Amino acid sequence: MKKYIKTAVLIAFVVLSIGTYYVYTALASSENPDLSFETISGEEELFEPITLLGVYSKESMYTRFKLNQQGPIYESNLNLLDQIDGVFQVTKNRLENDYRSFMRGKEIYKGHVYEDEEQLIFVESNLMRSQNEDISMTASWLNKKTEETSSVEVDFPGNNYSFANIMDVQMNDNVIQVFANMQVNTRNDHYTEIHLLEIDAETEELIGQKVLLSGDEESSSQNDEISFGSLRESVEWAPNEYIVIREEVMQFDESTQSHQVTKQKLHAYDVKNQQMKELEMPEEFITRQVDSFDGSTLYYFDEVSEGLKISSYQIEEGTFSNDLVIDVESISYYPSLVYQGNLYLVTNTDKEKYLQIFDLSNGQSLYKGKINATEQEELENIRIDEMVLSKR
Amino acid sequence: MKNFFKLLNFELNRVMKLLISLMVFTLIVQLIGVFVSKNNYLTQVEMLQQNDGSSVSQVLQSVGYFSFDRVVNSLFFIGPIMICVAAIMFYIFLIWYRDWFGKNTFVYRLLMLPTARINLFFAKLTTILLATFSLVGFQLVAIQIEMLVMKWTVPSEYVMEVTLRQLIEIHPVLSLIAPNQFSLFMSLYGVGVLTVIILFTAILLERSYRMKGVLFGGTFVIAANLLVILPVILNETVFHSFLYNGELLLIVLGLGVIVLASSVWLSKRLLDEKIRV
Amino acid sequence: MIEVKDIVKRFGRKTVLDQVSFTAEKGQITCLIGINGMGKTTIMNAIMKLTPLQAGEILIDGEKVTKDTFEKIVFIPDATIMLPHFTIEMAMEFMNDFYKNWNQRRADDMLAFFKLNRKDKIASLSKGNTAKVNLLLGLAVDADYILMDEPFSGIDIFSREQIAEVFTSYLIEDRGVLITTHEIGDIEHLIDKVVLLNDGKIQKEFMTEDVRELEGKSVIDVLREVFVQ
Repeated sequence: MKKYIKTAVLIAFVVLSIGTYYVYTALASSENPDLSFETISGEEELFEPITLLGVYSKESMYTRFKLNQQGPIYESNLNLLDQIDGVFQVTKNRLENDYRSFMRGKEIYKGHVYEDEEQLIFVESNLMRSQNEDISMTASWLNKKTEETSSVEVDFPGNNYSFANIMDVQMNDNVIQVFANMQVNTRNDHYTEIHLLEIDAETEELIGQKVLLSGDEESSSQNDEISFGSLRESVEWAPNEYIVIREEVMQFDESTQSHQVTKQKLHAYDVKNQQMKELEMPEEFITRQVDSFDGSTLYYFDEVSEGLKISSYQIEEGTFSNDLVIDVESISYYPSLVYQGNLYLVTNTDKEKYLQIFDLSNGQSLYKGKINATEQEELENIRIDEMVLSKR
Repeated sequence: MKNFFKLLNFELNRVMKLLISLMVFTLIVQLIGVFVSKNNYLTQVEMLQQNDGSSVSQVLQSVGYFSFDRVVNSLFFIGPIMICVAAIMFYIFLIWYRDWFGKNTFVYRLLMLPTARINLFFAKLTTILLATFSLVGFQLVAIQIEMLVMKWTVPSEYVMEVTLRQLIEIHPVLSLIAPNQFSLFMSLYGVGVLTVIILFTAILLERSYRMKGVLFGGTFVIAANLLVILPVILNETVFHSFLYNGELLLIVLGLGVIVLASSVWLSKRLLDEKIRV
Repeated sequence: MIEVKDIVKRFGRKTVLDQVSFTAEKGQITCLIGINGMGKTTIMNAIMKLTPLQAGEILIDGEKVTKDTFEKIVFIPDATIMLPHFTIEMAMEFMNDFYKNWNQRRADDMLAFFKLNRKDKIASLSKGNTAKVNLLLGLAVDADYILMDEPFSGIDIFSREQIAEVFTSYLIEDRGVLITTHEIGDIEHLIDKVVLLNDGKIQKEFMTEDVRELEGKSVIDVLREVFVQ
């Protein structure tokens, strides 16, 4: 046996050194705190379709997690394969799970998907111009009832369009509407345009292409640069009444060598009536950040002594409704979501975190739940960044 | 089985000296690295204190804490790891060729042993694996020692302690040789084992067919690798991610097993029928 | 019985063995003689499966060579095949480890007979002593058949005598020996059977006793007849 001693020592060393390390890391990663909701008031069912996304960081290690009624799922606890998608791709996971064959080979980007009860629409773009290929875009859709799938490819011939970005997809009256932000490059000019492409889902044909907004027309001087960006809706894949586009006029400032925003506008496209209009509201609301947008109303939050003041601007009416003050004890930053007329808010105090739900018609609290961790001090290492709707 | 262990023991004893020298070398050079980074840091601290009369907190503000990641990012730390990696790569070939070349042709003895010749293959494979793991394990232990030395030699007010786990998380080389997740460790070394098996088969092809074998061996390596990653390439290019990751993984895993099995089978046939002394 | 049947071996375009067939019996010393070329060594390598054949087969006691055959048949090549840094003792231990049929008593006998020091490193031995160690490591296995490739080549006269002596001893008795040599003189009186190989073909296969008694010729005489005409 003596001659096997070196081998035995070597194997023991390998098992001990590597084994100890992995037992230790396994223990460390199982230390992710267990999170749960403690109902203080109201009905728990209300937040059933909601998933919170956040980050847990401790001692320079960090892991993302998603949290719903069932508790948290940490990315570091997933298997390697599931880690590729991670925990934040809630919509992707849901769609791939429900429509496995339709979703094959589709890469999901924000704004490229539309879903209602009957249709699932998916727009893929090949919108970077290469040497010998025009930019193009493919819209494919699934009729959920008949399980039929169709698709249309739209080319953008010519050299003028160099780059485009799909902003939103909607459907109205069996017509698919694709909103795209397109970069126009001509010999002596370059600017962006907002295009609306209309595809008839019945005949599977492109029936219209309009320029909704053009940076060329809007700019007044040579130095101006116009950029357009769409407002993120609370549930970006859901049907929305309006698409809201923020226009920023930027001027190049010689002294600071940078672009300064000189003018802003908000434009809204009425999906149903297919009309464009500019929102008329006080300058201060146009230039400030919109805290939440549900497709028909813009919400602005302000902290006041009694809680949180919510100003709501109805696009259809073009007016602000009466301000609401809701009872929130919190420090700033509110991941929020508006869904079915209710406002979902994650609020932080110094030491505590809450999920609160309010009825936006009267400001009444519908639910208040405290987020608990196995060890309360772990809450300081938890940050909740986003709220998404995880059910249709 | 008994003969496999005897051969394994024999092969491990042959590589033991090399392993121990690599370990000693690694520890010494990395310790030098600790001292060099420590000295650089403390010289900076001293300069600030003497020239500007800075207090500890002012010093920390301008040069920062001393933590072990200053050490791991120096060549003194990475160098020995690279040399160990290179040594193992080299030994994958040496473990076979040393039996043919050199003063005595030991391969006669090995091939005439009353045991299945594939045991030689497995013994050498296991030796490579254990040698690699022992170096990895040693590195994990060595870092702990080096961290201790750092703690003893740098005044504690300047030290920011990091754990081994954090260190590995942020370090590109360390996270490759000992990733924090055991599943990743298994996957990486699984690929490693497959690679070694493919290389062994290529070596045996060369040893069986000599000049022609170099061609066969090269073709085999390329074909085997291509076969395993072909689904990934095809899925990315021709099929536009038609397959979901899980499905792709299953296919790759399946092909990996097929390549592994056929590589071992081919090696066995070569050892039994085609090998030349 | 070792049966070599119609074996063909080519290196590139060159045919080294062309349908070679012969047998070597247990209890006899068979000598494979060829003037030049590598045919002889190739036959031995082929028997031990150390080189592939293009055609033909080799049977030991009627069976194909498998791993278990290696307990029954040992091959002593003309070069050392132990690790150079091994001592004689370590080499014996290695053999003992792997061969069920290793006979340590016999090994000790030979160690004494050859006056070898078990603590000596193999690399440090003289050519003669290296050959003796080689012989020792092969003969101490209780195998039925022994293949020896040029056991006398390049060895001093005294070592040669010692080795030749081994052939008459109990170490060889009852075993089947296949030996190649081109210095027939040392062992002419010991061999029972001669297989003559020329240009990859068997020229003649005969029992030494027969030619001596019936034709009154020595082995050298026969060789001269075959090769020098």
